[in-house]
Amino acid sequence: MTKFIAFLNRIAKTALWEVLAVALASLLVIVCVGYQIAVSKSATINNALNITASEIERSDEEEYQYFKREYDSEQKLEERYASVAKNAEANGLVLLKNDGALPLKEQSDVSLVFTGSVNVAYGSTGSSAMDTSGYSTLKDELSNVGLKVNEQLWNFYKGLDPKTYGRFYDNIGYKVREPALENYGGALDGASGTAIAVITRDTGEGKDINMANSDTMDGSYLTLSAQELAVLDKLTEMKQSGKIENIVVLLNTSATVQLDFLFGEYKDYDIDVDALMWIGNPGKYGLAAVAEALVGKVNPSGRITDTFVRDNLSSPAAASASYSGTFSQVYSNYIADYSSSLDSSQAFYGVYTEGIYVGYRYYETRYTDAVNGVGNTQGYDYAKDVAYPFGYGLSYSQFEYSDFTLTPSADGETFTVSVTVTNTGDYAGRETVQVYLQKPYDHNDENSVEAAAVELVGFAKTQELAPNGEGKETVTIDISREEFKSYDAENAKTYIVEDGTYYFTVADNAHDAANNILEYVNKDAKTDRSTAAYMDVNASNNAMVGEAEEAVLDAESYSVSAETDAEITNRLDDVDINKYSGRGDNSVTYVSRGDWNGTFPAAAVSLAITEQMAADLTANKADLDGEAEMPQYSANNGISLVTMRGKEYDHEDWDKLLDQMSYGEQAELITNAGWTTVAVPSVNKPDTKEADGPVGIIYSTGKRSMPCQGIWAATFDKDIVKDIGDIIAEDTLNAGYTGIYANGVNIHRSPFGGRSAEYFSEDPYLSGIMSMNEIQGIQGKGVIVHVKHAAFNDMEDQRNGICIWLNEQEAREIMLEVFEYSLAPSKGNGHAVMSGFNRVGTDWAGADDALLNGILRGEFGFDGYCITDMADANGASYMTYHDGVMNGTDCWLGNGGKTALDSFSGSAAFAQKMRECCHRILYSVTNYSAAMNGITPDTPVGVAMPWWQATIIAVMAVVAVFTAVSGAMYIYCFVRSKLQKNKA
Amino acid sequence: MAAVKKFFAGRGLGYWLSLAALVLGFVALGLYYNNGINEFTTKLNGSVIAGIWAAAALCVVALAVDIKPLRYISYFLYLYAFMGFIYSQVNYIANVFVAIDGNTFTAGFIATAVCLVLAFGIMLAAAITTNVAPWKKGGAAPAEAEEEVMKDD
Repeated sequence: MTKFIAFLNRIAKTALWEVLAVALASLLVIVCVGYQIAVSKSATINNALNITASEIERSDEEEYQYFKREYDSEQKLEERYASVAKNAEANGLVLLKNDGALPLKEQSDVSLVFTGSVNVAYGSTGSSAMDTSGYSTLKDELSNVGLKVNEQLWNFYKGLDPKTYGRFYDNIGYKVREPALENYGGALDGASGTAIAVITRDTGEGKDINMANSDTMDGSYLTLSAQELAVLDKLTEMKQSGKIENIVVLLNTSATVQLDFLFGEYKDYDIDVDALMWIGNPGKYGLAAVAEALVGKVNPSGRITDTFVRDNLSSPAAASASYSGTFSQVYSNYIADYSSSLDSSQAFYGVYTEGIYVGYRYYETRYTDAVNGVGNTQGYDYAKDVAYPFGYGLSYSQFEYSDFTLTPSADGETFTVSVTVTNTGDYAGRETVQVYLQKPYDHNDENSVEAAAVELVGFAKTQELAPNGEGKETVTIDISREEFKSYDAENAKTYIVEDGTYYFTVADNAHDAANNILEYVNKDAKTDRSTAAYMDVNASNNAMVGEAEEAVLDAESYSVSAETDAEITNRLDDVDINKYSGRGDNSVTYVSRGDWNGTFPAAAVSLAITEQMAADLTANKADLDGEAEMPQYSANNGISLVTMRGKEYDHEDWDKLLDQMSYGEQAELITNAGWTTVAVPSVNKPDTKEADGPVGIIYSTGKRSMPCQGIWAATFDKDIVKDIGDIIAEDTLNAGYTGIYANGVNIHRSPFGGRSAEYFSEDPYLSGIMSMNEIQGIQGKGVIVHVKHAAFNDMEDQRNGICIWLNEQEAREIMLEVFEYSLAPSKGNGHAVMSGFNRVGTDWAGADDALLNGILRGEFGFDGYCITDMADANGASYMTYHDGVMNGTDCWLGNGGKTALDSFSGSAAFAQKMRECCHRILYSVTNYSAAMNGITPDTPVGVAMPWWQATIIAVMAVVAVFTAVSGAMYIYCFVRSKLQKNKA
Repeated sequence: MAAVKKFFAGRGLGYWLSLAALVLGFVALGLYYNNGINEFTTKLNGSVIAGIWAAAALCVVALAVDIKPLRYISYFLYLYAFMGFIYSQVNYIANVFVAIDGNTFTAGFIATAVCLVLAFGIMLAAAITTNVAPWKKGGAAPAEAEEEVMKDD
């Protein structure tokens, strides 16, 4: 027995050391490699833990507080944020239809219908996703304004299994699953009062809205499902039998739901909706405004910023995509010829066949030509396409316009539109005044530059006007002659002002604008036939139209940048497949008003990869051997970054300051910009901290969020948007961040764009003005905006590397105009821009010299820095340092480090570009970032090791020691037993 | 031929597990060469390749010579190669988990990871089972051998 116990002890000892040694060594391997992984993602981890990576003793002295906060307590911030956000929703929600159902009487009964009523889409997914738990419910807000919410229906929807009913997303696309009528039991029969049906659709980053494979009537996620239609049909029946009073539909999405169901287009369903309101994504506070609007405490004054249509495939952009089912297509010969040499990021393309005819520019122009009987428009029926035109919106009140005048300035550079607005209705309210312009277009001249029939060129919103004719306001809007310009990519290869007549009109919306001008032109017998017979309204107001004449074609006035004096000329020929030198047999037909039926997309555009295209698609092709001198590093010039505040970008001291940086510091500043720009001790630059997102900082301490950007734009109120920018900046600073990956400014090119919540509108002018005001609000507080995504990242489908092809007129007039408003020093003056994942033609957007250096910097005068989109997890194969640094990208939203650019250290050309990257980052930070607050000329900046890194190192050391001891003991036991065995 | 048959007939569980780990290591290596480069990762990771080769080499030695620590070291190298694989694919993994772009793990990625996990797991099992199941049939396990030594003592 004793021997047995001794034996067990000895076995146990050996086994113990063996187990310990193996377990600890395994742990050591895991911790060591884990540490490497953690360090490689240090910027991400620091951001997630809200850790600063610098050591700075900041001064409290007033003179070193370069940016000041107004709302420096959580309570003040919450109150102000709630007020601004609610005001935005109140002014931005759009009443699209009202047959007398609204406003509701207080204390009246309402029944909430559809799963969206209990599961509101407060925001979208992706970079603006917020934790919405704890947000007020629609029921709460309706109760707060005195409405009695039907408990039976509310409880029915609350009781549904969220795994079965609601909204979903899978690999195929978005889905919407409402209960079928037979699943309601008696719940729907118990509806009373006014039925408020909430039609909700999700949107988000990384994926477009699917045109097919959803569980709706036609497979598009933006149409209604059979279940939704059946419920609306049932409600209509209940209304007709007197069980309920009215049906009000709320559209809870940033996208444009297809509104065919309002027009009797589903024969099996009899649907009679009394009122329709677009509420977008309301964010944290917007539902309160929606409830107040339903009872008339808020008088709706928003105007839609996208055309709401009866057929979402009716625009050229959507129609073109519909033939292949998605925006992106695979090059026709990729699989057969290139799948082994090119990767999946090089396989896809998308073509903007629509030219400038995006949104209402298409519908109103084709309508105008149809009325005038020109442009091969036979068979076109505007009414079948459009439900509510751009700029449309109702009020509980009525407004009359009078005293329209159009006054050119003495130098002819400005046109002042003046109009008096009178509130003749019964409710106090605000009115949106919109000014549209029609440029000349000659259908008989094949060289005539494409021009829309109407373009928004000015707007203003009145103050709240008292009802019954007592409230009156004269609104004046100045419009620059620059709005006359069009981009002629074929002949003049610059902006021109066509000779001919330019018509201005004040109108309720884009369609009224088109009709106003049609009637005005017809009245003066300037057309060769009566257009009135072809118009679809009889109430057009030709008294609200004025005109200006350009006697000769002007190709000079706007051929040079007003910001930089740079020549403006074609820079994007290689983005137009028809002009690209390696086009081979590829070609595209762009939509032209010269031949609508002949140019409207009739099939998917098929492109094939050519040999040159295959070569151009490769990465790391920038020339590193150009002539340049190696810059100086680590000089001791004694200049602190803060002393550069206010100095010109080209000031000579910048060279001295940049000489102080080491190569490693420059490399780290450029490559390790994931949610930060790192501290640079040699120039005493503090680190900055950035975070998503467009509708509010995602790390908001109060989980605060704004409504979607479309709602902001729908206010048509610049001051409100500036207030939004201001309070988003306050919230950002409150959360400990000094930069925000916002604002989103791409265009709502198609109803199916996934990221509509983060972008303003289908109209570049409205988007541009709103972006400019938001940026001024944000940067005024020392929060650097990162305007995104430059450029042509208007769709999400296959965004990682997709080649975007478009013509230069559309690029400049539609897609880039908003960047000009956002970045030009005389306008928004945004100081960072984020490039897209997509390619511009064959070049990655962040390596397109013509786009970044030629247009954004060269023409728009942008002097901030360009950061990549999330390089931390995307695009490694083509978003390379090699191409990016050489062509205009300044930093990578990823995790690099001091040695990340060591392989380029032999290239003087690359080194000079690195230096310029640093210059732009440092210039932006010192002048526009609140991270400089408290930094004096004598404040040293040190770099600190974050606590988590120190902790892992300590754990590694401890595990290593124990591993060594255990291992030694195990080997000792092992050897001893072997020796003993041999001896035996 | 008879000698070869006798040789294999005389191998125990630990031997066969080591052999399986060796095969899996080479399969993982092949998969890594084929799938290691993608749009998220532009270079193959030298640690993964070196780790697998070294683990396999030790595995071969351990098949020829019954030295248990060699199997442990082979296991550690496989584990190191697996961790290196994760390190090399971290951007891809992050992209999948961020779940914005809709990317999912490819069959190649999953197969590589599974082979590496099986390789180090089986190698560990090969080392451990030597305690209870001898490397050679009929041979004494170390515990039994120690018992024999004690008896002699």
